[in-house]
Amino acid sequence: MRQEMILEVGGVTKTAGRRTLVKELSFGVRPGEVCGFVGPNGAGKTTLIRMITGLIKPDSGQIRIDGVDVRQDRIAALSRVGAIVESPIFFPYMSGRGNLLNLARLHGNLHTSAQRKARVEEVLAIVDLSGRGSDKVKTYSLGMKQRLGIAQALLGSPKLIILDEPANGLDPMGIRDLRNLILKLRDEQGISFFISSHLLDELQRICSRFVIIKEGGMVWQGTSGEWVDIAGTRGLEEHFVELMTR
Amino acid sequence: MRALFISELERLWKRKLIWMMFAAIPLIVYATARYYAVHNLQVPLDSPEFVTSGNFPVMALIEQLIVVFNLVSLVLLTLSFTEEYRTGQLRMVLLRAFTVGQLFRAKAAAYLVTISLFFAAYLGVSVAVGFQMFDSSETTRLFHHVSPAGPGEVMGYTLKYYGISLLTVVGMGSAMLALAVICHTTTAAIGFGVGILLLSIGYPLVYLTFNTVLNLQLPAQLAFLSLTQIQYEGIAYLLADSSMGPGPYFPLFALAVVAGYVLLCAGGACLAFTRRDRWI
Repeated sequence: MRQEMILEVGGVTKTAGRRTLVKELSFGVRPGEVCGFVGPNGAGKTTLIRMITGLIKPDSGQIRIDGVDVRQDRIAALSRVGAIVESPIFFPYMSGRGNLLNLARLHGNLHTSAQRKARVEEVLAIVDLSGRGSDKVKTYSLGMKQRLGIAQALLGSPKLIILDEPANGLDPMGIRDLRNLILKLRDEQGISFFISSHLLDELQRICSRFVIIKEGGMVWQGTSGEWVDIAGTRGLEEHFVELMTR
Repeated sequence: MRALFISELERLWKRKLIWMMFAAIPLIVYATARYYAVHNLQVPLDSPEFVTSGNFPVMALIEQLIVVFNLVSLVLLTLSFTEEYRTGQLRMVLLRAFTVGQLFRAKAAAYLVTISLFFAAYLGVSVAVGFQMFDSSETTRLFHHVSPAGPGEVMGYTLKYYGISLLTVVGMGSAMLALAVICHTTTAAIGFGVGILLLSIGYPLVYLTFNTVLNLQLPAQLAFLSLTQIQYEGIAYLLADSSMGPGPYFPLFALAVVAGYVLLCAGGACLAFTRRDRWI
């Protein structure tokens, strides 16, 4: 029997004017899996993430989250997802806690003020921001904003979290904290992750599956172990460059 | 949908600028009262322009409606639609389990509530300042009314004037909303919004001047295609005694103009907001 996918992308194509940004992409992410989404700048990673999260519509193809088609039932599909698309941008005139409380209103599973406050404190603790929750977001470092971004993605207790270049601009300690947080959420809460990044070594540490694209099209997909075997002694970076220049 | 509306309202009211606009109301009303105190020395006692505590709320609104209220409306719409959308802040909301149409309606409702509160606050402060700074009178002369009005009639007139003014500001706001949705920066949205306001003020002057100078004999009523012209003269005509108004069809015409702005501009803005891809 075919295993149910948490994310299914089937033959998705997106054009803008004469340019094809994403062409015929198909892959799946299984529950509890951390999937790395790799490609050079301008390959169409963020475009696909925008389509998965319903910000833009594909010209053709289908995207299903936990079995629900994003175009046919956006509300049901997005209720299962938390995401950071590009950099996490918050309402700068509000505190971190204020941002989360405002966004928590938009989750159907948090009906009362007490439920919302409790969930906000819970996610602030998960990302280790309880102590700075009352500070205005405009005073946060990039690393803190990334963590707050994950906190807002966690609000609705999602089955899938999508992170677009989450390590951008983070220092080594920030990257380590982020990695530990992702692994903790996967192990303790069974959350699946779909992460786009350029940091191959970092992705290798946390991802069990990879999807590699170039100019909007699929170049390679498979498990982390398969990629390591194929790359051999060259290492992932060299193999990735080879794939991109082929 | 209710949660979305409260979330929008909460964010709008977390901004200092909104509080500053409301805090400015007493200053604006006081400055207007000072102006009318001097103006009263130049107009006869039986003129509708002579300000008493009874008609001050309406006179204070007339003085500030076109500029202050339309600009407040423009700022609200620009903050809520243009800034949140173009800076990417709205992405956090768009990623939640709502339709974009629901988000548009929630934003529009938050705007309507806030601009209505601005009118209500302005009315409240005007009543207080009016009683503080002007004499009361048994009767008050109203624009285009044959006989003087008693306190009850003046109160009804005031409420109607504020209600119709709110409708015209919302009509004008619809045009500004279309710009707020289309423009790529808040500066452009504010700039084009002020431009459309100036265009609206200038159109009747140009139209009536050309109509007279070139003897075109076009209906003067067409000057009221401009919402600011309705705000400037039209509301008083709408509330005039039937014998002193511009004609029996004027209310229908004015209603059609306001409705036209709302349907065309707000409808277009809604389509633009909900149908296009959101590259944010």
